[in-house]
Amino acid sequence: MNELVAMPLERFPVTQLKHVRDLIYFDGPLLSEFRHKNGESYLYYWCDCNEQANRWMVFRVSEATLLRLTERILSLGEVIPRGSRDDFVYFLDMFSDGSIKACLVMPEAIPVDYLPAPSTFLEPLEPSPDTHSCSFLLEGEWSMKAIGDFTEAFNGVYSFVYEFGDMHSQEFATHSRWGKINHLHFFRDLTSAVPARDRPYVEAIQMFSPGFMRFSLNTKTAEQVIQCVKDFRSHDQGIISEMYFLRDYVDNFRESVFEEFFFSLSRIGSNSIKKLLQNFTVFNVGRFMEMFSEKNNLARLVLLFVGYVEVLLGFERDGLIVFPKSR
Amino acid sequence: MEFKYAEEMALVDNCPPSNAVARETEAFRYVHEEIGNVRNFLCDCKLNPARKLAENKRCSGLGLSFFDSEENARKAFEYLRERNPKIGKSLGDKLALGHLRSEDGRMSQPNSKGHFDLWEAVGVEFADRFEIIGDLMK
Repeated sequence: MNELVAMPLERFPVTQLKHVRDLIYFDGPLLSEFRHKNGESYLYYWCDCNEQANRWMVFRVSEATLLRLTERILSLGEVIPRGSRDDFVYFLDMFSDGSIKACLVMPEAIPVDYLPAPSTFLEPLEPSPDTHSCSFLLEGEWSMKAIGDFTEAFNGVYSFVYEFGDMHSQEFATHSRWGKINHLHFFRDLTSAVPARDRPYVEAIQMFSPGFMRFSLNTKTAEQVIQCVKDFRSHDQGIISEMYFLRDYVDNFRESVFEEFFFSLSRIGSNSIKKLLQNFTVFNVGRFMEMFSEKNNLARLVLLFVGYVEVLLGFERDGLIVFPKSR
Repeated sequence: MEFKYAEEMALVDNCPPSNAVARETEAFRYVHEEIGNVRNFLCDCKLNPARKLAENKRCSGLGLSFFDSEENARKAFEYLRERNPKIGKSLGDKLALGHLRSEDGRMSQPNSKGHFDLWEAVGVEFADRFEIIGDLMK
């Protein structure tokens, strides 16, 4: 292995790092993300080996840099090692008996043949269900109101998808009560119906541009939320015209019936809801329609859901957020 | 079929995957210069020292990596080398060609890059059945 101009360390001083995911993998990891218990992220980048040890470059990296790397906004060459938050990187020689030889190296002293080619990027990453968290890259200026609007819309779509998306369709039967509730309380009830372990919480937020927002949540549901945004983006003309149609239908209907919120769904209304939901791949529309009784406020609920997705997409279109493209 | 690493495979869900099949095919594998090098046909879970950072829960870690064509093998190696220039020291910097038989084990379907895994049956040895056909660094 290359001789390093380095400051030897008695031991690797960073403990309690937890493996999050592998970012490059072929017959073993080549670049991996770790997280310290204090929330800081570290990258382990494989550099070299001999018959006794594998050599890794390890450095602390900001979550925003990591997100820009995984979203392929930054190249590997821009992050390794320039993304280090410290003025040095660690080198670890990890031996087969489990022992580790650690040292500090200044970035300018890293051998050139230990670095990735400048303009190489990561491949799209597979979702990592074990992490139970999902981060979004924030760009531009975020007001407190914008944060509130975003989290509300995210929570609304997340809860709706959690309960009614195809992932939990087996549990539909247990939720017959959804057909009877008032839309005013629907999303509040819906949110509290998500089990605490899967409910989204804001885990960390950094508002400097580029910043990030990290939720702890069920990652599969988060993937489906992101899919809803993608679906809206792909079918926005059809969705928007159907939203207007359904809104007019609801407004006209409200004026002509006795009960303000509970009304019968006409065939036209049902078809419109089906057409609207068919744009979103995460739903089994037939099963979704079956679970609601004939008298309900389904049109309003669906409009609220689609409205929340539109809000999320609006943040992206305003250049405030980058939804993961790689998932 | 009895697998070489059956004990370890039993600890991983769906390993080998249900779509893995026994078949005959030409296969390309990265190897070190001496075809008899013991590292050439060891799955990455058994390599020592292993390039490993966390407990490996991947079924693929118990299989051997192959490619379905020379072109795909070279392309994938180049992709890795751009990202980790010394990768040849870990995987091997030569390309070997051999013929896999249905009794060698179960194979996954090649992915879009032509890569597939083989979960070896007990008693299978490859050193004599593969021949180095080229240098991956050129």
